[in-house]
Amino acid sequence: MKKRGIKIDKQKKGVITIFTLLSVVFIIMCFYSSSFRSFYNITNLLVQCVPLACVAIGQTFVIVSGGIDLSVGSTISICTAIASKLLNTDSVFEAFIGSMLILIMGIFIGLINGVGINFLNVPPLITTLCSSTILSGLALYILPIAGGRINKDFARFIFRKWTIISMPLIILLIIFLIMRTILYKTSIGTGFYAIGKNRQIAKSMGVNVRRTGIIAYVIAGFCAAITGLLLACRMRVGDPTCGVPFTMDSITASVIGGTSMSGGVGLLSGTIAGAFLIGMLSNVMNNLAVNQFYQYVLKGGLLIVAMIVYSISGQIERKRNERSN
Amino acid sequence: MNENVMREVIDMINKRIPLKLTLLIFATICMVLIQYILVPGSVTLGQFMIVSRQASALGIIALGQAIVILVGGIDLSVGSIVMTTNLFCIASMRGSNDYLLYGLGLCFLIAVLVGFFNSVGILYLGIAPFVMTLCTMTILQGICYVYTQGAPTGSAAPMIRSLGTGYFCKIPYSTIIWVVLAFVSIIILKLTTLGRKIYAVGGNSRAAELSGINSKAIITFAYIFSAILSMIAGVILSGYLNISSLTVGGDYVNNSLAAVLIGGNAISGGKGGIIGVVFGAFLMTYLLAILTMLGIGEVGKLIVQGIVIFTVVALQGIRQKS
Repeated sequence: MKKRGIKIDKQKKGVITIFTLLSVVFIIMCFYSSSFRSFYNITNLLVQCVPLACVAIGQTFVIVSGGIDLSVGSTISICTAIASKLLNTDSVFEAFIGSMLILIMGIFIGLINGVGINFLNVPPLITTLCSSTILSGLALYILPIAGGRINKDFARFIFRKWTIISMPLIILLIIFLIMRTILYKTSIGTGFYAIGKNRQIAKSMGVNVRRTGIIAYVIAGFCAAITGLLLACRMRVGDPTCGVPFTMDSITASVIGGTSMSGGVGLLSGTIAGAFLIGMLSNVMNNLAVNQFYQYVLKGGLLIVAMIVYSISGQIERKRNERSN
Repeated sequence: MNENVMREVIDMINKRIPLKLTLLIFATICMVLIQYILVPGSVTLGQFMIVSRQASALGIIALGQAIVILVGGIDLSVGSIVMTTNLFCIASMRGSNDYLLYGLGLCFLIAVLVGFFNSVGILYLGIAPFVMTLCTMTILQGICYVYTQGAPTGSAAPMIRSLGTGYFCKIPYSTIIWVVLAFVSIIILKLTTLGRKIYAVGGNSRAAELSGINSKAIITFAYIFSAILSMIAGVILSGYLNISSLTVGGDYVNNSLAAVLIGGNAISGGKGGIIGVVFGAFLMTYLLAILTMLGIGEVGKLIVQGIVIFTVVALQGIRQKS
């Protein structure tokens, strides 16, 4: 137990870096642009970042356990497509039942991914790539073009605002607290870090490797389904291709937040900060009227800068350890 | 031929073909039979040549991807290199042979730079290959969008156009280039020390370094090789399409990964060969061609493609275990 505490303390340094970066950008922009610091923009910004933050939490679970999930984008797409059919009712109760069904479907997709990876021994990359292809095909089958309708009252309820606090933020907070408990306080959570670091050793230490691996993908599928619901409620229609950018963005958010692609390292708070940084950056660029095409260049640049910062701080850490030894 | 070469060839026939290629050859025969039964009279050599021309761009990219995966990396930037090459090739040639060398030189330079950039990030900044090449991909996309402002123009030089669409003795030029490059890759991997070093670095880079291999140089070579092959594929595609498009590279990242893994190469590196990858790329294109012939739409294609790739890789996993 004591050892786990130390490990998280080390990781926290990375999270502090990312939060510092986030607040520096935020404060500079607040001074610089009056439209950025406007109440309306900041509330909007917070709501805009929630879907990415939500899916990135799921992605973090998978990356921490040593895998990768390329199917989250298609899961989001198919969830909005199904939502536009299931939530196309007049009664809020039916819409609620429909959204529960969508969450169950997200879990089911994660389960299929997990079983393919852990029982059929297909590499995570290829399993999730295949399920991504199949799901995007199914999404196009369900809804060939963007359309459908989401129950108005349900969508309003999901996007309700009380001054700066809004319903999506509360949803994100609840998910964060639940996932935090799972990752840090339970034995399954420790299992994620263990199988991410070294599967063989984790197995010999008594971790149920297959079950833990499957749960990681189930969580990713669940988070993606929630993101799909949020997007559907925001757009109030379904869109069979709206999830595409979320796959890479969710990986970027986790990695910027200090998650290591080789597995076993990563914190949820870092991921959320990474997601907000990406969201804020595109907001900032719109605010400064930067050509939107530059956003691609800047997103890549931000990722490289974050990686360089982590690699330098890692090297300093290592040198300090060598010196003390 | 010296004795070593003979032994290599015999080893290849003995080991590689029974273990890894039976499934692929079986799958190809099955698909030919399916095509023969469902669309009678369509199985001709000419049709195979057309499929192979369509497969050539993917096939060439997959060769580079295979070498990168062999050294234990992954290259997500291949698609955007294809896009960048397509863009600069078309824009700089302005439909005339006079600018041919200038255009090709520019593309080559870009490819080498991108490959070098990837390897510097991975080796000297310690960034994970997946993340580093993802960055490169995003940045290249951004450069393409900024350069064209979203509206690319121009047309390819006539020589490039004939490269993409022309035939030599009923075999498309692009297929010939693909086969030649595949042979070059096989020779590099099987018959040179560089190839041995590639396998060694992919198997265990620390052990390779300790036994005197400059693993950084090998990894740099792999990424530059992959970038150059993607550039060649981009040039061939430019000739075939004769326009530049901002969506041309989209599918190649996923499809090249799928082709490499269908070919029986391990994603963790150090295991696999080139013949399987060539088969993998051909099979994927052939599958799409059959589905098109059967009149199956985009939806069916995506679903069948996903299921087939998964099944092939899963079956290989079961075979390797037993």
